[in-house]
Amino acid sequence: MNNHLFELAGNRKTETVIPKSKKKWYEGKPVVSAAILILIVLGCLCAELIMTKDPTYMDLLNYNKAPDREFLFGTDTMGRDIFSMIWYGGRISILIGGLATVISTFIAVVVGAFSGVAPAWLDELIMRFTEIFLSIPTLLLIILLQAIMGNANILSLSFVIGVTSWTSIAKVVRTEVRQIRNSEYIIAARCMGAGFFRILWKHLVPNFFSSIMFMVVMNVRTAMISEATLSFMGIGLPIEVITWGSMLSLSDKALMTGSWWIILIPGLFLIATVLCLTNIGNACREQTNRKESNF
Amino acid sequence: MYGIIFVISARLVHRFLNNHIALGNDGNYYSYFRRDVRNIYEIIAEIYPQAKARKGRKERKENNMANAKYFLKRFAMALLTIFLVACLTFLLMNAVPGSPWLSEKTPSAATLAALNAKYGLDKPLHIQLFMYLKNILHGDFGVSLKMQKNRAVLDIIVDMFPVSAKVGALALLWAIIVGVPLGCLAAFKRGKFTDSLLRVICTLGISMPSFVVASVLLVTLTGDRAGNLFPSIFDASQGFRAYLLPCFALGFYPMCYTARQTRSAMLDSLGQEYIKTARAKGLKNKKIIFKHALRNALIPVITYLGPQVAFTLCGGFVVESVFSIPGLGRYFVQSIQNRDYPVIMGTTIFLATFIIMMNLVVDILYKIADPRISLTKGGD
Repeated sequence: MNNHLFELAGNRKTETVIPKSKKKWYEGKPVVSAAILILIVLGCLCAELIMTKDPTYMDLLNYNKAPDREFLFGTDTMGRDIFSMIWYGGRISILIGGLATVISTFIAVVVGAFSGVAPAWLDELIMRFTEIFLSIPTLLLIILLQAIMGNANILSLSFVIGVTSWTSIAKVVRTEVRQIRNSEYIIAARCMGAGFFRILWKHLVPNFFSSIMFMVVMNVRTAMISEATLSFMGIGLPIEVITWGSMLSLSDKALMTGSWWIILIPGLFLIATVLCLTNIGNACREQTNRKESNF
Repeated sequence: MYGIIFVISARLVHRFLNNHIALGNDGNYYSYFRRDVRNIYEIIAEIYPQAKARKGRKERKENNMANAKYFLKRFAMALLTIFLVACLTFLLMNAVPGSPWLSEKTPSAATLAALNAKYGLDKPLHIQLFMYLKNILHGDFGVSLKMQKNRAVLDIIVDMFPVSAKVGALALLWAIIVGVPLGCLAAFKRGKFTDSLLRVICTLGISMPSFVVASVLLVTLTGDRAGNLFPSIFDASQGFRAYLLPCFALGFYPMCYTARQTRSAMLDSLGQEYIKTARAKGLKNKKIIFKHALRNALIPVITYLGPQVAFTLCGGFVVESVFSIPGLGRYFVQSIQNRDYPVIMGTTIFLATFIIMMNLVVDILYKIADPRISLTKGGD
């Protein structure tokens, strides 16, 4: 009875807060995508170890063969082994993607940073120029430039793709640089007589790199798609140079004979790579701006 | 629209009669009428309570001036861009090694000189450029040198563009009609299975180059194995069946992109205060989504329309080539393979102009859709 008299209203057991288990290292990171991408890239780099046949050798006895034990992914209309071509040609596809991105990122960083530290009128001029550049559709520009450069090779194609895809990165770089250009450490560096490129490399790039990372990854993907599209239409690399795009350009011949493997297998590899890159890029973006609406 | 005009004019008449009776007729109808016309804003405010909250007349006038100035500036920029594109295209085309007369058989020097004189290729570069620009202004893009010899380039463009435009418009239409609801669905079912599924589809769609989609569709759905379900070579006379596959292939990427954009815009707008208010009022979910959230979420989607138009047109190059659609995109690619310079130049300038103008229109639409956006501050 006594106990009931002095019962406290609202008295409850103390809530025990169970500490949330630490986030696993892989949570929120595109582990699967990264793994697949690394697998594909490694496979392409070590193509010589994987290849079962010479990718350039045209086996005229076994052309247009469906996948079987000897030709794992079948052969194309010229009798080349698709399994070997995938790894061998992927190397060039990835190389072009990387090279074009390096070129475009370099141009973007230099132009963007220069525009960011330049006086207002010059900045205005550069940005107007960038906008004009941005309003011309990229693929149109790439095709036009490639037509002017004549027959494509790996370098010229990377150059053309790189030169046409720097604008959006440059705009971001410029905005970022304008925000940090008057920080004390930059002024200190300038007072000590550091040059433009030194400040750019030592102070600016580390600061804005995370915000352009997403776009850089996306650029690799866009460059690979551009290369494949051009080669597919027959304005890119010639058919003797094996890439995923040029393998796909055989598709009209494949259509007539109904050989699905010629189209599906290079397409699958291209899509897988691009998909992984998209995932990684999106993860980069989420890392930089943690908005709940982001994918 | 007519309803609004009718209501406004009815109110005007009503006021006019009211004033007329209250103040007595001194014969000066005109001044009353003028005052009434000046009060038209008030009448609109009576009909539309939202309009009342807007700024005063003077401020509005200033705002309109700023808008007009902005639009004029944008228009001037667009014209400048087109001019630069035209110059650039011309100069780049002149920098190409080789001449249009290069073929298996080299013509004699006299023939070459005659040909050059005929097409004005013997004059200095800046005069050629000036002549070319002047001709463009007169709608003369020159004549095709190779593919359809001596046919006017403009004629070819006028002939082929409608086909491309039709395919592109249909593709864009399905992208929007399907993409926007899918985005809404994903936003509303956030974190659920539907959302994850849509997310996978969208990521896949964004990663797939349109030519891969097109080729895969061709190999799986056309030909004998699929029972000739769809024609593998485009044939406009087959109507729906002919357009379905190309439009699907062309619109798949924009569809996925639209869905993603709509989803993230919807999530943004679902988190706003006015949605909470609507929920607190006890509105139904359907009404909240379609009346409050979607309207605001669509504004960012409009911004993406311009680039999408550009993409669809350029994507057209590929899809038209795959499906053998006799459109401008395919012709452009062929003209590059054949090095038919006037056609390349004409098509480039035409497409660039079209895309730049579409971007301009989208910008203006954007401003109309959301008057809160300040234009004078600049694009970034």
